Amino acid sequence: MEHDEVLVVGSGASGAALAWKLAKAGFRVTCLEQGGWVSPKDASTTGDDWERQRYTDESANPNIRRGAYDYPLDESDTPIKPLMFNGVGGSTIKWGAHFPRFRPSDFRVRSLDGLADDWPFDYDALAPFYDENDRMMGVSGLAGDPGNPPRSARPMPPLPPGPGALRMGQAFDKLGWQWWVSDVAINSTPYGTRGACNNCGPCDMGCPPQARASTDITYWPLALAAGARLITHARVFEVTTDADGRPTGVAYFDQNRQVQLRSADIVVLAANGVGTPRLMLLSASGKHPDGLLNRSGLVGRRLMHHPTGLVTGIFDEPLEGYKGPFACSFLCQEFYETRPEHGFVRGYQMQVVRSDGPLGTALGGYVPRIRWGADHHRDFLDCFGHTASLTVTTEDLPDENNRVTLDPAVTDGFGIPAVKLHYRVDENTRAMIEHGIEKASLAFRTAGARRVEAQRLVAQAGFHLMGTARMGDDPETSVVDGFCRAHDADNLLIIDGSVFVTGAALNPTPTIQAIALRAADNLIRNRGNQTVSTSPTHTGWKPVAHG
Amino acid sequence: MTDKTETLAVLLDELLPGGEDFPAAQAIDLAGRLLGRPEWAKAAEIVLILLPEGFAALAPALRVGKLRDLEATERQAFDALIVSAYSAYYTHAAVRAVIEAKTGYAAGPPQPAGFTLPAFDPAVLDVVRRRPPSYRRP
Repeated sequence: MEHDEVLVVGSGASGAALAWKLAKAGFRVTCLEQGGWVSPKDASTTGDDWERQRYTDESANPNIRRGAYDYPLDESDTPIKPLMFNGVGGSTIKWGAHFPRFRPSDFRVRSLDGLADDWPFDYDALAPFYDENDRMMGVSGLAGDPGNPPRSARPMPPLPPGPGALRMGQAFDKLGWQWWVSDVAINSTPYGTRGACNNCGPCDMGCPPQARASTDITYWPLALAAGARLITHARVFEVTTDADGRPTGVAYFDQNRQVQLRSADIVVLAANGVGTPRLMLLSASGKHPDGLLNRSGLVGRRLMHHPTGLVTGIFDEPLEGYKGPFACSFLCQEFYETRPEHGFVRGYQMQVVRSDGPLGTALGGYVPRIRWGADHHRDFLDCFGHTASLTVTTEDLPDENNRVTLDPAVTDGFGIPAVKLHYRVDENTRAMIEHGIEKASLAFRTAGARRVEAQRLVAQAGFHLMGTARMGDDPETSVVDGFCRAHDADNLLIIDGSVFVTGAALNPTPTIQAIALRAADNLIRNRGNQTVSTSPTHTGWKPVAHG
Repeated sequence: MTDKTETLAVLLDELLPGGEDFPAAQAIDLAGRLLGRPEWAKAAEIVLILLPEGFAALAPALRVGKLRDLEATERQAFDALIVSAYSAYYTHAAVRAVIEAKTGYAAGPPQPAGFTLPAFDPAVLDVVRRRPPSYRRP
């Protein structure tokens, strides 16, 4: 059996960052990734069929995409559909690369607003790791935002905002609202070996110039050069343990569908807020009857998304919203913090997003579907290239009833139980979305929109998967500590969005990666003191039947 | 042309008639295009089964009425047809050419050419830059 010092499950945002930092420090690191490499140069945006592919076999929803390396997700009990990707780079292969940091208040929700919980560290503890991650991923933006703590000069200047965002910036100014140009993990200028953005639009489909960051082109080349190993097409189905229940490694199916065991001093789970609790629940054993290291009973619980409303303004003038990264331009945080005059606690961000290509416009996304029939072409021309949109991205407070469970009936192609999501949007969130729709509509009218359309809850918006193995100081009410170590076995780390205590109302990837880098930093500082299993792997695991 | 293809062509012309310089579905053989891709063909064939007998021979207004009824009563099947029809139509070179001519949006794929946009001008932040800090420090 091969043995590693650190074995990472998942090569996405967090797994790549940790693997790089540990390999650079001389650790023997291996990462197991369920999917394979995706070549950015072969992105389907170079072909005439790209728009059809965007909504079918290249969808961010694995249930639509049905890729060979995906696993099924039962989404019948959730109005928000989970989005993710399995491959080197994980879900950064499919993301829009909006890259905001959480605010200081996001780490102190209990202290400030009297609900949910505080994190075991604060913004200042994470700030150096945000900076490190910004340099590694490559960030375009501008320091000086009065809506956020001061930060270092951004590695690259902001991206071109486009006519729609400029109008919205002027409208925010007229209304006296706080806003700023977004931090984005997209190169506005060449950065290292990667090129600059050419404003093609659909970042989620890959980026031939490699301007949009994804960890396959940022962290991984450097991690591999530093000695990390990456094994692709490795479908992990169990964290193995010794007789005392301490993790000893993992069991997985290799690319030939053969079961392999791999041992390690330290096991790190980085399989996202659904994949990680799935693996922990799959790893139930005599010592861990309710799932791996689940004394608190919180593994899989407190699932948080960012429930999102969407408001679109249709203008007389062409705004050419199909030009430029679809998800990134300006960010308004006027309604981000709790205020007594609001009918809700916490708040939301409004992110100026651009628009779709022709097929996306006709099918309906930012605007309702264009009606078929005699007026179809007139209505299409009325909308196409004439819209800008604001997301109303809300903070989702943790609820133990929102959860991930193993599906009792469905398995993936290897016979491994699939996942079922159970999720409800609460009344506080619904009030936030209504408030946001009202304010975003006001902004569009101020900007001169001829018509405003609103969606109250975007279904295909479950990219942010958080909270399902939360961190904290108390082993009875949390799964891992502030350095991502399991309370009952400090050689098991969880470093993805599962550990979030609260979800903020901002895209989580920079925070996920900063937490991973901080956890790696702690492992490096305590390398000589790490407790590891010295007992053989317990043989209680059972290879599941092939599907 | 088979009865099935002919009926589908008539149906698609009601969904996507010509106008505003765009070609009608029949003018670009959208029916043939749909039937040439299995997932599109499946969506079309389900709706064809649901159509009333003699649909193609009905007067245009009656055909539209039947389709509206179908849209209301067989939502899932009709939605799948719309997605397929729009996908086939808006990825057709002739339709893309019209869009380019009328809007300037290039008919080809977005890569490798991309688009040009004016660079960011920091002056757009002059007003908001003067605002006081608005985040909470615990």
